Amino acid sequence: MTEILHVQSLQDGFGESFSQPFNVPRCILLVDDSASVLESLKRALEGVAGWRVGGEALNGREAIAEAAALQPDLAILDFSMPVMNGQDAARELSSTMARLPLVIFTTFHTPEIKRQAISSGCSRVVAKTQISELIAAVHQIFDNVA
Amino acid sequence: LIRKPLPDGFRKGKKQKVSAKVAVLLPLPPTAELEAQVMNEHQPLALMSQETEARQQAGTQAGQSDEIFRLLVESVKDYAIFLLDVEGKVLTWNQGAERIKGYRAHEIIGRHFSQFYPPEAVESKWPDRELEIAKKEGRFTDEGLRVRKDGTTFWAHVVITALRDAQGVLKGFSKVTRDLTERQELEERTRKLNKELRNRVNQLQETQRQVELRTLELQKLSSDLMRVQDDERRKISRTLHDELGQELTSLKIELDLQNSALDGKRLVPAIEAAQRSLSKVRNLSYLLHPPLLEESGLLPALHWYFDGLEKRSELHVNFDYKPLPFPRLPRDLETTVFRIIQEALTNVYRHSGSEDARIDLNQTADRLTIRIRDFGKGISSTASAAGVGISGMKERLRQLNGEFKISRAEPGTMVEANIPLIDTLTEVSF
Repeated sequence: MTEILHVQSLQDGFGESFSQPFNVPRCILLVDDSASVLESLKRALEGVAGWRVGGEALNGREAIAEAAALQPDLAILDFSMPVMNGQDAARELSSTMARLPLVIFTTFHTPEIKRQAISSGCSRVVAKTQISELIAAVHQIFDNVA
Repeated sequence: LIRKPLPDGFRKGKKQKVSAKVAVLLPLPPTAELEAQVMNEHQPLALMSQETEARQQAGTQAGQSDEIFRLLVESVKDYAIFLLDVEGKVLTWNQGAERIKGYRAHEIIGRHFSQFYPPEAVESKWPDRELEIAKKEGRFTDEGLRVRKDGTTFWAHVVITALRDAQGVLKGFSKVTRDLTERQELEERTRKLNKELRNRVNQLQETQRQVELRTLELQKLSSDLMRVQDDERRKISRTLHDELGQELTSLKIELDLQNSALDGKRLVPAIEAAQRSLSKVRNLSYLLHPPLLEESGLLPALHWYFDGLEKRSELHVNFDYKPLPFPRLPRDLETTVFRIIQEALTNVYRHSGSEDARIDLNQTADRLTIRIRDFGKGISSTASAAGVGISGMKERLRQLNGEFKISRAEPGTMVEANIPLIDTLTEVSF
């Protein structure tokens, strides 16, 4: 774990010094326990010019490892997943990779879930079926970062 | 027999205390032959008879009362009362003796009284021993088996008294025998009844134990049933949500994508159909078992449920909870609380006619209290007794040693559930 953190911080440093040249696509980590949803979401997100889905994970635990290796520009997490859910993964990621923007993508779009997700370090909470809202949210985040 | 003049030799032993009493014991003679025998052989009898006769001859009142006494003894039917000579031969016989032992007077007078004993008692010389003791101690009392003329036996109470004259010379014995067979039978019957009673009591206790055991088994079964039902619902709910739900989500996203690639209109009906299917699958899954309950806990699950219910029913739910933030609880407890609120709100929605429901959830160190109140028309007594939902709530609470109360709240109905937490937290595992 300490080793990973070490590598991570090195990579973090790299990421910053080269911070997003215009022609390099934005790298998104996509996390959902359903392969079908992953597939559809990937197609939807990669349909947007300048975005690419650099990595995929099937649960929160995998997402944390993948995020460390991939150093994405943004992670989209399903709320409800086996092994480790999106909220718990978000909590851990927000402390180990503080600059990584996190979006929770959930079926359970209630104020309570939203409150919980935000408190665990997510920037945005979006209803799962509203693909246009998701794209809008990601746009907004990238715009703010840029 | 008795009234006959006595030989000279028998006259001198007169005057004794026993005489008056013993004289009356004398029965009428059975035969002339025996009569003579007795006269010759049995001093005491002769002695007493002599006195009796003397009195009778004197024509005294005493003589008359002796006669009455004689008749009295003679006619006693419940006791065998008779005299034995010093050797143990039967001298007199009364009706009781005949009834109890079966011999007519002429059949037994002059015979040795060992006749009344079982062979083994005779062999061991028990009858003689009885006389010995009576002779020595004045009296002998015993209970034991005696033999009737027909060979059958009966249980007898026997008193043998030695009869002595004024000089202390043994003259014979009186023997009073009582047939205790009936008492014996009663005692035996009482013993049997007591034994039966003990058996019945034991059986009853055993039955009661069985009933208690079965009740426990039933309770366990019912608790298992609830658990199995919850597990099954959870599985079906998961399958619906995670498999079918995700596929429909994927379909919806694909349709969205295609639609925006086209004119943004043509696929709208298809997108709406996919959305409706998705909503239905989610609702179904959610009603079977809220996935949020396990992942995020009671509060998110409840909020989700209230949102859905408000949309479906236009029932406004006012929810208050303490403490803040609300902690995670053991799974069984969270499921129970959720199901109770779900059940109660379903009743509010279906039966109360109320537009508002108020829910208070309060957790303290040692208990959890849930209050669900509506402001509708109030529950009827039959509904409170028979409601399936209510019995389900009660059963769930019973498993957690909780209490359930339903009451009129003027207006409306108040449902209260109270769950002790110490028991629950130690007994229920995650």
